[in-house]
Amino acid sequence: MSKLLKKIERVVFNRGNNEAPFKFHGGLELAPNKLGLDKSIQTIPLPNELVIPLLNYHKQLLEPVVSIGDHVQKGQWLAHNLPCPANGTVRCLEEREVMQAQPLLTQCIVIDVIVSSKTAIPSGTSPTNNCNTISGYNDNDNSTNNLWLETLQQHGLTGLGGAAFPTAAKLQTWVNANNANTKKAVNTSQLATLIINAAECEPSIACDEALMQAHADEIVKGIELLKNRVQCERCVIAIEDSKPRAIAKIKLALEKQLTTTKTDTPIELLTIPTRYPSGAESVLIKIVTGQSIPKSKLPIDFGVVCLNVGTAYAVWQSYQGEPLTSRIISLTGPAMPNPCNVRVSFGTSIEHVLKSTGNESALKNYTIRAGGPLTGFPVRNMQLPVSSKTNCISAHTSNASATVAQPCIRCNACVDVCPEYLLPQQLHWHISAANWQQSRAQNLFDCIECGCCDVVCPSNIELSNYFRYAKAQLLELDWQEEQAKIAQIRYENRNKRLERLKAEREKEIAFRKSKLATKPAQGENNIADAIARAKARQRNKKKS
Amino acid sequence: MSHVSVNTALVRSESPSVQRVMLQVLVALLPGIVALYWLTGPGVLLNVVFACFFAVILECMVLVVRKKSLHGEGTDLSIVVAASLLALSVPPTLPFMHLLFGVLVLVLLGKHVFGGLGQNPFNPAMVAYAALFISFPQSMTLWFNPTELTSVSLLDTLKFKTEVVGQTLSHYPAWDAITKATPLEHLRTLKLNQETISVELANHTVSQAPWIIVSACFFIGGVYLLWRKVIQWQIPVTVIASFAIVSLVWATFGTNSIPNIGYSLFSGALIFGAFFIATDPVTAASSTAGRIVYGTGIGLLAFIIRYFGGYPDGFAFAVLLMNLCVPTIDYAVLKLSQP
Repeated sequence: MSKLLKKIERVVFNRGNNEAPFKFHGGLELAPNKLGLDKSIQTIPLPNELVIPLLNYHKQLLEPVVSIGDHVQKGQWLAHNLPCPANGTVRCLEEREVMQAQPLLTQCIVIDVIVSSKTAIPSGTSPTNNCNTISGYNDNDNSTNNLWLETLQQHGLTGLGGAAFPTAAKLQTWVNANNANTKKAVNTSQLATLIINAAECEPSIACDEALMQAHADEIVKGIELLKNRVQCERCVIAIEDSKPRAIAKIKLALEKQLTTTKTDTPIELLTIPTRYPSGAESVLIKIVTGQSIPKSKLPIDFGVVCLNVGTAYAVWQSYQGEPLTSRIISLTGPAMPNPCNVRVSFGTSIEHVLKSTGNESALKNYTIRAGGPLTGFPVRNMQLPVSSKTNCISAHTSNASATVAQPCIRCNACVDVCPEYLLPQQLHWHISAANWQQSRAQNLFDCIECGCCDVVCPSNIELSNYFRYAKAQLLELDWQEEQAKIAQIRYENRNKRLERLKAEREKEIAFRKSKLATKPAQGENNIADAIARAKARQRNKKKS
Repeated sequence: MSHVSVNTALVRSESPSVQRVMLQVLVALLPGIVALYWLTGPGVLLNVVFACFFAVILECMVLVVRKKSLHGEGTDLSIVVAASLLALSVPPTLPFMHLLFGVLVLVLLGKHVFGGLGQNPFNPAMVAYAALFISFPQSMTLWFNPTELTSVSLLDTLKFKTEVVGQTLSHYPAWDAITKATPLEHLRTLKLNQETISVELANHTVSQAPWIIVSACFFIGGVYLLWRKVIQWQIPVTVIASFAIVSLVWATFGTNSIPNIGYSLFSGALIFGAFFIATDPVTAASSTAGRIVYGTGIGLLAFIIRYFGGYPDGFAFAVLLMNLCVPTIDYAVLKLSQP
């Protein structure tokens, strides 16, 4: 039924198809500021040391499976599902700062890279790791699918859009649902749309565009593979209209793909208007399907899976047996001397990336941000290692906007640009008053931190900073509440236990008392018996 | 505070600021001010200059007392806008002392008692207007007869406005001749005397044309604000539309006949208020649906107070009453929009 309605909607309102994708509320038309796209993607030489944080997506510490002094090979596991980016020796295990907005020290493995070792060691043959090599990839049965997911996991595949969500976890539900033919039971809407996000997350970042220009064929093959695995009803690759060259390349690759394989659901190429933040997952899903996803649910609950185009490429690479150990990074920004897009191994320091691309001067003179001006954060320590989240390093002449925040005049400019239908000024009001729960009630957690409100605010209020702060506060409060609840339960259990023990003791006492109460009678008998026995003995003595 | 910061300076093509918004409002007021000057003489200009001057001085004093930086809140022009709106709402004949009282109320009770810019629940200009209206009803309902404007010189106006303090107009018989009630005040008098207000009567006894010109000029200013995206369409459109619809319905079916719709729309403060007063972002509802409810409420209340209440024009009171409802409206809209 819903399928039919969708179809009617598409036909009658001409919405949600290739010509006219759905509109989203708010957003900003920012001038696309892509730099360095004329150059081909260079792979930067490996640095002397790589720093690999032992953290997974859920910020849990991983147990290393290598020890200090071990020789490691590219693709070999350093910890569970954490492939090593290069050949080398494990130098040490120590606390290092990792690349994230709030400085965080965590356990990292430091690897001395052996650059001279030119012999390519195929992954999957390393001693401590047995990555699967799958032959029959085209069969779509349960075991191959699970094998495939396992391989993705083993190859350390995470989303390359910026959040680094494990790809296998994202696909798990769908692949399994298809295999068990229980798709209807999993969700009601039944529409499984696979969206490949080729809309850049920020106007100045160009890593996806560079990738599409260089590897369109592989991307399409990756998408085709994904499509067959998840058995989706619709598969869309969404590209912003500001990337005509990438669109042309992908179109060509799609046509080529169509000639070789027959399929009922060809990959749709959806050109979407260039409007920030269309690259954000929830916004892109809205553009492609018209469905808004509340933060309390996952896209999977609505039958949608959204993957970055870089992830699709990595999926293909994984199919070829190549683990995910590097990514493309945009080096951009107005103060970047030589803007370009380069392939960087995970664990490389920012300093090395900039030095080996001829951007050394940016290190001394300018402020460096990880990410662009909207979604990034300023970096002070240049030794921070690049991770799968790092899509851009930008250099700017000034760090903060010089203007001072003025009082909010509730002009509503922020409401008009918010893609999530929030009321940022109301949230700001509640957060300023430390009214955390009220800000949660006003859907604070729907905020995608795109920063549109900051850009338009006439009072120069750093709204998204307030929202991040409030989110952190609320999570902290939740944690405290949870702890309090656990403590309460523990206390109640203890009370119950004490009561039970008390009751048991009382029961015991009562039992013993009752026993004692009956004992005196027995005692008297005993005495009487003893006397009788004694008398009998005396009598016997006398007789004798 | 988190270490992530959106670097807005890097993506903005032009930097928005409160000052810029306020400047645009002042620019939008210019046609209306010119029209009022042309029709009613220099009184309106004196009011604007006087009100702004004292409001700025008072604001600076309050900011010093509150230990706030003059550079931040003192230069955002918001007080100039509020003072100008008050000066344009009061009659050009209003004595300076009365206006000074109004400015005091505006800055102290309207704005800073709540914590300054952005914190006030009521529109400061309308708080001051209401205080003036209740305190000095006679001088607040007195307007120059627009047809007599040529005879009023700047010096005469100044003299009148400074000398009239504490006196009633009867001491100045010469001025009585050239002052006259606004059409709405005239209507109110008719209404109070239980006279039937026929459309002809209203249209013919009081010349209405000058007021249409004034309203038209404010309308132009309002359109400019819409074009510059300083205000959104919801509030002005719903204020005017709700007022017009009720007027139309009442004029057609009501027992007590009221003036025709065109007359209703272009008299009094409706156009000026719909574009400049009701749209004050600080005191208006914030969501789109909320703004529609807010605007509709103002239009309806303004109609009820104007035609059934004891005041000639109820726009100020309509705005103040709806200001009171804003938190509830915003909350209700949010609750209803959630599944």
